[in-house]
Amino acid sequence: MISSARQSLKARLDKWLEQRQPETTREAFSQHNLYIFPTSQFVGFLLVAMMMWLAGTNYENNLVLALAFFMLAIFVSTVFRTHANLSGLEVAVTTCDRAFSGEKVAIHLNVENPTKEDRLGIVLRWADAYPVSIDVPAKSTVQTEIRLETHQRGWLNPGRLCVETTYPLGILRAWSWPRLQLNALVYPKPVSAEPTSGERSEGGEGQSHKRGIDDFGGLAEWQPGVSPQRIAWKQYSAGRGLLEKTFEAQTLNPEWLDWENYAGLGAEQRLSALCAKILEMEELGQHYGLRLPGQVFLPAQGEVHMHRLLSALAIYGLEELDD
Amino acid sequence: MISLGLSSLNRSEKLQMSRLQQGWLMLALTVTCLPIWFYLPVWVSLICLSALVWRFRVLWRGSAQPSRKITAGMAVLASAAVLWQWYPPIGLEPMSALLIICCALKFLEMRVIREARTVLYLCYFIASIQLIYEQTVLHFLLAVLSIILALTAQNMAERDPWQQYSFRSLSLFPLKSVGWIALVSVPLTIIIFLFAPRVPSFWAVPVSEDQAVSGISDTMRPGSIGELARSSRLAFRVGFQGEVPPRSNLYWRALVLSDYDGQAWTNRENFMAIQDGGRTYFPGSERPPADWTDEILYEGEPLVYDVYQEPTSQHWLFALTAPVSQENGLGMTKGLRLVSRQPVTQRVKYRVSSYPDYGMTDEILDLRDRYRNLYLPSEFNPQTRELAESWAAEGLTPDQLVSRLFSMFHSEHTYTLNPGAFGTDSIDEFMFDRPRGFCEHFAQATVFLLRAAGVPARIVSGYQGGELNADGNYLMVYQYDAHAWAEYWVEGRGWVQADPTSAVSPERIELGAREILKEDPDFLADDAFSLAALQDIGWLNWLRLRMDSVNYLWVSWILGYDNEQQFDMWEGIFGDLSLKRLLIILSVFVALIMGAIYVNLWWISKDRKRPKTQRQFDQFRTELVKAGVDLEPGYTPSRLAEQSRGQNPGHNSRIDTLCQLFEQHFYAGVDNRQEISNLLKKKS
Repeated sequence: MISSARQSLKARLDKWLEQRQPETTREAFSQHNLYIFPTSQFVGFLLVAMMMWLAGTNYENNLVLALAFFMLAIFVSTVFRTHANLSGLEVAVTTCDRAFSGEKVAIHLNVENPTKEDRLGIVLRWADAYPVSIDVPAKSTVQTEIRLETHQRGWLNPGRLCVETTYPLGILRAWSWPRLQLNALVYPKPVSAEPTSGERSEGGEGQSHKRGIDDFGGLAEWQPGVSPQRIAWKQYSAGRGLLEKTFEAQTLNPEWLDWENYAGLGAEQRLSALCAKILEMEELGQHYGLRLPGQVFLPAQGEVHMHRLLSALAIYGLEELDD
Repeated sequence: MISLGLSSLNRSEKLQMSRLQQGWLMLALTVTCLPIWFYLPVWVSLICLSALVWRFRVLWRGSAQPSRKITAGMAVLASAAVLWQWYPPIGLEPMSALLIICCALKFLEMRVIREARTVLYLCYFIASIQLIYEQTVLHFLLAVLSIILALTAQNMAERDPWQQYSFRSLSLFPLKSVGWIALVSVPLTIIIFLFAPRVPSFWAVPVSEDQAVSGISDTMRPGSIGELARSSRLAFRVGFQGEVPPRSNLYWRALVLSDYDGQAWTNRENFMAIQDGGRTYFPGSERPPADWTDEILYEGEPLVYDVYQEPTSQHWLFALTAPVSQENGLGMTKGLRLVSRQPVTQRVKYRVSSYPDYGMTDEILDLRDRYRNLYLPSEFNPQTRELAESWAAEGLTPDQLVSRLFSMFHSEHTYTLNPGAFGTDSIDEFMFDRPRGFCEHFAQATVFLLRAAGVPARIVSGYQGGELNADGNYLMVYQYDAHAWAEYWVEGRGWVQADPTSAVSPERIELGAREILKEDPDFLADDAFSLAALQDIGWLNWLRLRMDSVNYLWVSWILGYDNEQQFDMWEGIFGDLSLKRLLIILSVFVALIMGAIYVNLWWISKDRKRPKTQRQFDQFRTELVKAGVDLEPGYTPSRLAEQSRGQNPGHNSRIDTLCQLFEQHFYAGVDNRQEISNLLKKKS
């Protein structure tokens, strides 16, 4: 009963937050998206102020009363000060590292302070990651990273980031819940497994071909993530746009990693096994291709190829679910 | 500057503190505890001092911190000492001593930030309770300083202890945050102070009555008033509502001394009528109480004045004759004095109306009173008794007795501060052998003689005169203004005042004690270098009067501010305070505050930082969106053009050009603001 009420409350809060702070790449804090509330420290502070008021009233001592009121006034002005410590700051995600499920993934963030005031004691909390505390001097940008726990493959969705501060006195907490767009892809956890059925790769053939010498194969549409070394700069300068040089390795027995080879396993285990295999192949410097139901990746070799394949594993079966 | 997750440790309450943080905490605690030296026994200060020194050594010399067991042991010992010093441990002193000791020991054993906060919160409270002992401007400023230092320490505790602040950075010095908070808080405090309603005390606070404060005492021996002439301490200040009466009328009554044992005169008057929340309360009264209050007839125009009294630890107050006060806890007595239910342990203010033209009926002197005011122990002063009886045998009226005695004083006696000690028959000695004395010698001789002649008489002690401070139009009454005079009973007229000092030394009454006594070596012997003693040096006297008028303003405005003054102020500002009017004022206030907040928010939200071209681009985007182009935030101008080409039926070269211009402006740093503005205007 209570838990369901709490859930519906949480759902309403989420909806309300979604309206106020929709997903964005960069969030600037202002009174529209900042919240403020006393901390547990405030209880002690209030208690002292009340004791002072009590003493002042009982001894009919105006000076003690004045100090009690001073404490109250300090609290009120601290509301403004704490709020101002966050207001004007801008936070954005710069890059996200790739990680395998179960590892920690580092999200790189920029906290920018375009104002003329130093901002101290800014804390970033995100999901169950260890919170980060930073000081952001005036007119500067501080880079920081949060290492998020990953539990499953696919697009990482750690929910909202919480940016908070209790500076300057610790009796009030101002915070904001920006929902930052994340491009963090979590690969499946690599778990080696023996293929259950015969490999479809034809071994033994074409041994005479030279290994490791890549010949230029052609040009392909540029995609994000391609190493600058592989961009066809000549063609770019000729005004043909960004193109990627592709190479065809001349190894004759490319290794085919096939979904069907792991017939006895569940989908996630198959993905884990494929993942482990990809890493192994890349380590060996082999050419390898990947067959997933409905998808075929021609054999190739290199970091870009590996990430393309791992990404395919990471989002396998998730795209449809989203739609 | 990359900050790793490790630095987030400072959010943990269990974090150890850096030296800088501990240093600020130590400074705050030291300043806060500084004034206790003056109020509490030395050993309390010594405990604090040793805790501070120990901690100092821990900080800078790396000595070991005491274990929890040791500090716990010290706390137990200190509590035992508190119990030994004050038993039962009720009242301000044991409480503040315990608090201060706790605070110092906590500071000594503290290891993490959470404990530091406990120390700081105790600091705030200790800073404030010191003001119960002393209420001068200086003490108040010191308390405010203590609080600001504690705030600074609290601010430092919020910082990352491992962060190396560069010395160029202003944030190194926490003045910016704390200074801002303190500055904003001051006007806010004033507003709250002026408008917050005052609540009466919740319970009677226990106050120690054994504080030794020099001043007049309820037992008078020959020489005890003369002792006070050695002191230049202020007794009280008086602000009159109208004209200040002439000095010779300013007889401030404190005590009525009726009981005489042959050596000392004592005040045992216990007929009091004390205001108690609208009712009148008669403490210690055995008989139906109201009978004597009806015997005093308050007639004529009253003199209305405010007395700002320094603490005496006594119940009696200072007022001109026939005083009435409506203040809670104050009351009048049958002896026409003003008294307080609670001893005056801190500076108090009370408003008094005195009726100089009061009357009284003969019934006020009942049999018991008559007996008390005629009683003389038989064994002392036979000569004076003889003289009184011979005068009485001549059939003189009380008035004639007094005038004959006063003319005798005038011709034969000398007024002096230091007449020397008298023997057992002190009045005989004074009357016939050594005709030199101070006011109490004259007063007691007068009362003795009148009683011996069968006229009820008593001594009244208090202060006479006072120095007018023209700056603030108020009187300053010092200890050296202490005085004693006589009252005798006349049927049909009641108690009549007779001051023998005015007969022997009229200058004392007309010019004041200072003028007549300043040549005397004993006068102000204890305060020879106080400002009040050095009045003859012109500029020092000028300084003294200015300083005192500042103090008077402080006392009358800050210390004396109460519900009554609050109401007066409201009425002064807003006129008659009817409920309707009050509601209107309140809603105007609320509206003003809301308005201020709104304006503030609007001011903040005003997009002042965004350059004009950026805003123009936003506008342009909005136009495209309205035209049906599907746009997402973060699209570059060229992407915008591309999107518009595909989706906007009204796409034209203007849009293309504009996009190109924007692209050049944002990414190539081309200054084409004029072109953009021109092109944007074209459409409209």
